[in-house]
Amino acid sequence: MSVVWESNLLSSGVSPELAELIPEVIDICKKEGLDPFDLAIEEYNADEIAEIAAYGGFPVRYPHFSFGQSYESLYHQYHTGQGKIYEMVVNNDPTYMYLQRNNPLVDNLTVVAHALAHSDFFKNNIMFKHTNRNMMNVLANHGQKIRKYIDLYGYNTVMDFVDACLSVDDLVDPSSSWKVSYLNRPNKVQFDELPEVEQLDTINVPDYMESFVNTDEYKEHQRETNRKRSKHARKTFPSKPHRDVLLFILKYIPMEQWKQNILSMIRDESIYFQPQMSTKVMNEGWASYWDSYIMTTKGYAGDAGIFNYAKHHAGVLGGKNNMGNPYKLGVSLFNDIKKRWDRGMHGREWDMCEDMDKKRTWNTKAMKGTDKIFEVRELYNDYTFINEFFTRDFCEKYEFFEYKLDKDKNEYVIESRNHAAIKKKLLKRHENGGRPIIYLENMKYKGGTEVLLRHQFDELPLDSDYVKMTLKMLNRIVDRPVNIKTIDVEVIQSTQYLNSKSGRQPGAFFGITQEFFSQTSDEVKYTPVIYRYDGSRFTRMKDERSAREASQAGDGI
Amino acid sequence: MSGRRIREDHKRYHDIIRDKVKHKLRDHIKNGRKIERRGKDYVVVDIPVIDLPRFKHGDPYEEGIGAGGGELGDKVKDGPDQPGDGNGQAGSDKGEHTVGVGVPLDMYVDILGEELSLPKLKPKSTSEIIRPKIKYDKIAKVGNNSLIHKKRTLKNVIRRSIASDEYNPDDISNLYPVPEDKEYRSWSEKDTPDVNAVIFFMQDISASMDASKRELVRELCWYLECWIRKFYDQTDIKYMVHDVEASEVDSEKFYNYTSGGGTKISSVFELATDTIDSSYPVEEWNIYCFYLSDGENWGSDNSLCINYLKKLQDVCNVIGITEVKAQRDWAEFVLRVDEAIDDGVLDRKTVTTGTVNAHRDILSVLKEFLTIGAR
Repeated sequence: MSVVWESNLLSSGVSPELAELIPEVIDICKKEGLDPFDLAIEEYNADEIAEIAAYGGFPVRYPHFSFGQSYESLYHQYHTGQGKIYEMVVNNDPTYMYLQRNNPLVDNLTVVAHALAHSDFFKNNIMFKHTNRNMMNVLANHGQKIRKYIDLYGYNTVMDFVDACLSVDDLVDPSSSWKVSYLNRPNKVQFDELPEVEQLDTINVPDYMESFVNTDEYKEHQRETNRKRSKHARKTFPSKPHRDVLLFILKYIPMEQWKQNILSMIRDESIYFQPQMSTKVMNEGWASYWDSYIMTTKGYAGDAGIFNYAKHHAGVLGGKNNMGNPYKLGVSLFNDIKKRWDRGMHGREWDMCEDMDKKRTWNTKAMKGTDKIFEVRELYNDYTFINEFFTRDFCEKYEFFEYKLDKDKNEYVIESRNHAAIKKKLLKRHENGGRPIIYLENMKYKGGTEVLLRHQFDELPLDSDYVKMTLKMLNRIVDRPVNIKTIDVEVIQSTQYLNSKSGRQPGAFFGITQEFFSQTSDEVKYTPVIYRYDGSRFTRMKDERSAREASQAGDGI
Repeated sequence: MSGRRIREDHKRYHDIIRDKVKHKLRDHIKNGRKIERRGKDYVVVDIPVIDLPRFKHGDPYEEGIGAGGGELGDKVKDGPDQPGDGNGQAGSDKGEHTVGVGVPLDMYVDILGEELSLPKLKPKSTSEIIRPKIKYDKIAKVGNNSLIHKKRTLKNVIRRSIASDEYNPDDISNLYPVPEDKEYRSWSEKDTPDVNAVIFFMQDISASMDASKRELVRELCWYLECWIRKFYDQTDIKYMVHDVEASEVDSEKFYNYTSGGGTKISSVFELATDTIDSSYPVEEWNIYCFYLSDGENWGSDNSLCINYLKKLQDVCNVIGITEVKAQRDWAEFVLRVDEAIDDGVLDRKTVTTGTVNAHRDILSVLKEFLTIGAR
């Protein structure tokens, strides 16, 4: 029993019925193997909860209109009965958990179980390993500082800059907390300090062997490489493309101190929130798995309560096929894993088995399911989670499909139920939290004055309207021309007729309609481009060099 | 609304979207679309979400994944709106998320007034009832600190310091008020005639009034109430329903009750006349009467109704007779009233008629009724 929630229970205003049950639920969770942080429970009324939710669980953040916008929408949803906030949990030690006062007891008890599982996930999942567990205070300090800057420089000036920072706050390296900072490495290469001394990779040998071992040819080859490298370095910085764009901007682009301070605060916040974006499916799935386990097997719901619980559960998860909902996808996958490892439905023997009857009743009584899901919650993120456990059986059971726009009918129609294709798309949706991956390519672009970013293209192009607006925002921060290299995609949907070379209506002779022979095929055109914003004008140029390189490589892009 | 922080952020959001909201409301009113209401004091308009620009993926392939039953080629959902069809705004609205934004009713009513150029109602100023009104328009030497008049006090401070030759424009640190300098705001009472109004909503609740008609009635009543309330200190609302007999009900019953009986419109006018005689003396009250039905009446009752209307028009500011989704074969009541107006039996400055068939008619009927009330 922890000290925090015990004293906190008295002050939180939680109803006596709930206060009595909370310790029991915590005990059960711990017995089942969950390992959460201490809890700090707060109970508020609906409007206050809407406020906290608008701030993403951190009611101490800096002022920004977007929080007001979220509040408007949450408030509206609640007051017109379109939505209800059940819980807010934040990754912090102690974990803050917000309950809504007017929700029924069974809802709030579910929320406690749900929140405990979230807390356990925050504490144990590898993605969260290096997150700051004292973020409530950090964010409060940030809020305080930004308020101070508002007093000093005026609301609009500061907020324009905050807006700009927020719109590029995902240009960070999500894995940065695992790495020794690029800039703190002992033998770092400074911006303008390039090695002058000739460094050749030679083998130390007596002089008389020198011309045999380290031949002139070999040395000359190395000199040539070095020359190329230093020429590249003079024109390119950093020498290798880097994910953490904001870090390099902070370090190498001069700006007023308050701006630098705000940018670095927003970068810190963004890095803190990265793991939550890359584990949304798992985190919600894990919490939903545990709340349903505890509420349905431990008898808390009671007779009337189980109905309320089912209602709550259905409200959160939606129907059987509501797979766009991360809660639903996550909990279904966890249930599937539990079942498969309980019954030994995995491994070589299972994969090789082709007897469907045998597969249907497969049960090795291994009962490894619980161990497995604990292992999964510790070691996976959404991408690896789906990659490993989104099996063909799972795909078929939940009736996944791909759809596509049928232009003639102007409606989306089911295109296929191909497991591999569906999985590929699903993975793409969860790669980097579904956002494009962008590198800092060069800070010395065009004679050292411009910034060049590169979008790592993987079938999906960037939305050009948003590129325009975002480059403007980035320009506001770095105060110099900004460029981004990407590839534009044009899809030309065409209907081709088989046999059309002959110029005859195929099948006319047999009285078969044309549609019978037609099939649609999409021609996709890729164009490498560079978008540029120089502070006043926005341009889109064809990236001739990349196009040439691509055509030389000879395999398209 | 709870915390200070969210109040500030919320206000800022509203400052940003103010013009957009007004524009949307005007659009709504022009197209005569129904407005969503939240509680008593707010209406709701949908405003596109302001999202900060980010690098994000486009969708040139127009495809996706889902889950559920169905054969290959089955429809999943509608395609994007085609440019050129529908309401012309398509395309730009594609895939836009919206937030329902609450707008104070006062603001909506003001815009409604501007947009429809609704005239201001003229209350009868014959009221005998005088009520004092408090106005802060005086200055006093004593008072509460929260009422201190800063400008006057500061002037006094400077005047005193110049007079005593202590004033130095470069150093204002010793400028501070002594009690004699302080001046406070104070109030005076003004006698103003009390302007009150009573609205009679009268409705036929016989079985022919189906749900869709009742819905239109509800909307029209809401608009009338909003506008009339704006001009009076106190507005009473009386709800009356009738089939062959009339009775006074509360608003809940007014909008929801249905009776199986026949229709005798004169019964409700009789009840209204009696109520006015007993409780609402003409010299103190501005009286508005609105009758709503689908226009069906027991044939021989119509002339009786005209008689009652003749009595009512002497005491009322406006009498509005509305037929809702009338079927011309049966609905004769409004025709009879129109005839009476044309014949000069009824005063066209007080009595008017209107027809509502769909939601878009409501605003024009509203305007028609209220224009009369302004003359």
